[in-house]
Amino acid sequence: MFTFLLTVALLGMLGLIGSLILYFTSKRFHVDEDPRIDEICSLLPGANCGGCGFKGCRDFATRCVKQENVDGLFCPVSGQDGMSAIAAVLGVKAKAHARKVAVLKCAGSCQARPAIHEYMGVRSCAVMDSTGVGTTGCSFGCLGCGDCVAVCQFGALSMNPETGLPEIDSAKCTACGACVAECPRHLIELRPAGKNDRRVWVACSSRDKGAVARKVCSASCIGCGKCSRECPCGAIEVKDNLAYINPALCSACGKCVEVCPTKAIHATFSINLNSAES
Amino acid sequence: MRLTFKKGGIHPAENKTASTRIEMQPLPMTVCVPLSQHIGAPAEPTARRGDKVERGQLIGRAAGTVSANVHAPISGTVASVDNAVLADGRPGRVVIIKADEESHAADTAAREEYWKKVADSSFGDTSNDPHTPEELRDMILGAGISGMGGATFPTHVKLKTGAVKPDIMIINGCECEPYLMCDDALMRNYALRVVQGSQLLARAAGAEKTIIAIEDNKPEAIDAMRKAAAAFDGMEVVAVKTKYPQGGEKQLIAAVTGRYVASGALPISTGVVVDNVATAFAVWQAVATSTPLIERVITVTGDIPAPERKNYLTATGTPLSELPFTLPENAKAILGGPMMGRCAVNLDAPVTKGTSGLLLKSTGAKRTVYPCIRCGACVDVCPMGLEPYLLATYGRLHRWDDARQADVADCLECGSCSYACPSNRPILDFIRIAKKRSR
Repeated sequence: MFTFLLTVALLGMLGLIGSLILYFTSKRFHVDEDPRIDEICSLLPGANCGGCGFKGCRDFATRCVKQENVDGLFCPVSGQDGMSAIAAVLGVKAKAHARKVAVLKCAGSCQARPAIHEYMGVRSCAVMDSTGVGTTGCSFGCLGCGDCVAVCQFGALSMNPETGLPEIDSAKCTACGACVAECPRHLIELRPAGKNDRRVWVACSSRDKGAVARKVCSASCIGCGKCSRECPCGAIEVKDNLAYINPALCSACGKCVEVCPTKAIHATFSINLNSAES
Repeated sequence: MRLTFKKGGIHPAENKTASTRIEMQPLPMTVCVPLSQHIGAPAEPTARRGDKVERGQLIGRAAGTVSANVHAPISGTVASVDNAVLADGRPGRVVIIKADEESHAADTAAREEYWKKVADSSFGDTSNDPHTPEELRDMILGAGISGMGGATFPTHVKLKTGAVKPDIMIINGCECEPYLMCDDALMRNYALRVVQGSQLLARAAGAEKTIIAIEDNKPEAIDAMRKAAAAFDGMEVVAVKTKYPQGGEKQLIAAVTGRYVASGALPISTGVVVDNVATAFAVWQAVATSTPLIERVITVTGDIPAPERKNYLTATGTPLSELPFTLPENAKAILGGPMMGRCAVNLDAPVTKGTSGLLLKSTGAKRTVYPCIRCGACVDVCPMGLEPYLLATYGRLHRWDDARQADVADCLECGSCSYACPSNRPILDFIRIAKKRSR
């Protein structure tokens, strides 16, 4: 009986001492945290995707509270409405932010760009890129192992088994930029979604000369410059055998899409080719 | 006790079956000379389209501190300065030179005469070379010499020592990669030249002692080098244990001198400079005969008929496909050895300064990857004392900060871990990614 009482007493004392230490340390090292941080955190998606440029949602919320407004800060997942709500917590107004979506700058499907080498390593774009050139003759294009699909937290990317290329669901894309950072060949670009979801981009990244690029892929940009001559806005620049459409200048008229001889320029809207010819 | 590094290492099948003779590969009619045959900035082209160039003339000037000159390997007319697809399938800037019948015949005759002179031991004695170390370094820079063991680091940069004065020059004749025999062949056939070049390199670096280290699976090369080095002061030829990666810079320093390079430090911090035997040979050529680096010995070997496994003295810029070999079925071409070599997808691409061998393997079935069984084989064999399984996991899970903390930057990418793994796990592939992205 004595052993039992002694054990209870000793453990009780240990517990008491421990709780006193904990009590005083928590008093001594207490950090006052702005309650607005928690409030903003509850408004954020909590995916910690890093699309805002901060380490996670809480880091982003801390920053919002610290600077007392949301200028220059944007959570691509919450979007404009979410940012307005966050701004309301801080008692300010959010500025308008153009929505962006990811686009793939490669159209080298299995049909356009047949495989000529065999790859025996791990199915990972990063590994494939570090060990060799991939299975096709193009050293710039998509490797097709789906590293971008694996990294997308919003299910906006999926591999199309027919083309061997990833497809981007622009409705689900939050422009967090995870896929942009992941692609070892830097094939994904975040571009403004455009008015009425109309946008045009060059779906190729090959800086090979036209003849070389064409030989390995029938959908490649050959740097002919037809698009840049046709463009009424002067938005297209051809550099290193590759055209680039500046989204800030582009009016999404679709003239370049019509003239591109290799159909390397993609658009989110359909163009009536017959009306152009007549 | 045979000299070697203390931790790790593996013993892959050697397969050193090529002939040790050095055959002359005829000069090609057209060469395609990449302007980036070294680590660092690509050379700036000095020749333009339509220019007549002589064999050995400068066509690309070193651009920046870490860069090397590039010279014309044949006489002829510059057809273009353009982008071309190189052996790894990626484009690079090249100078294409086309020879005509006349210049080709003249080049061939001059080349034959030159190599006859090189073989004549009474010619080109550099033991009383009057040049100062600075002048020697300038000559090495001028000749466009970059490390010929495979890493192709510009040699003049390595010799430019800062705060630490080196006291030992190690000449690396280990050739620990299986299959490759180009250094072995060079040491057997041109031992005197390699020794003379080593002496010049040691003088250029300011080192008093020169140690030539050769793996003990090359007894003929050791004998030849010992004979040649006997007449030189402060020169020693040591046999080191045959173990991969014995030829790794840090491993060799540890084996020969017992010094260890600190994590993140350069080998020079231990007072040692390491250069390859082929580099030493190129230095002798540059100093004694004013010949730039336009030719090198390359081993063609692998799953090809035995008589075709040979060493060729090849001009840089020669298309790989011009070398005589029969491509095996389901061929996989590797530039360099099987452990650290790079996959070659374009055999029309040229031989460069760093091409030590062309290994042609016929590929077998794809090996199944099994889960890690935590056996620790990769940890046992890692010559840098790292934990490869852990680094690979960090690489796979995108934990770059953790990888940096675990010293992923010290990995020399020797591939011992992947070789030793009983589950066929692609350990090195993921470590490479972690190394790249944790920078």
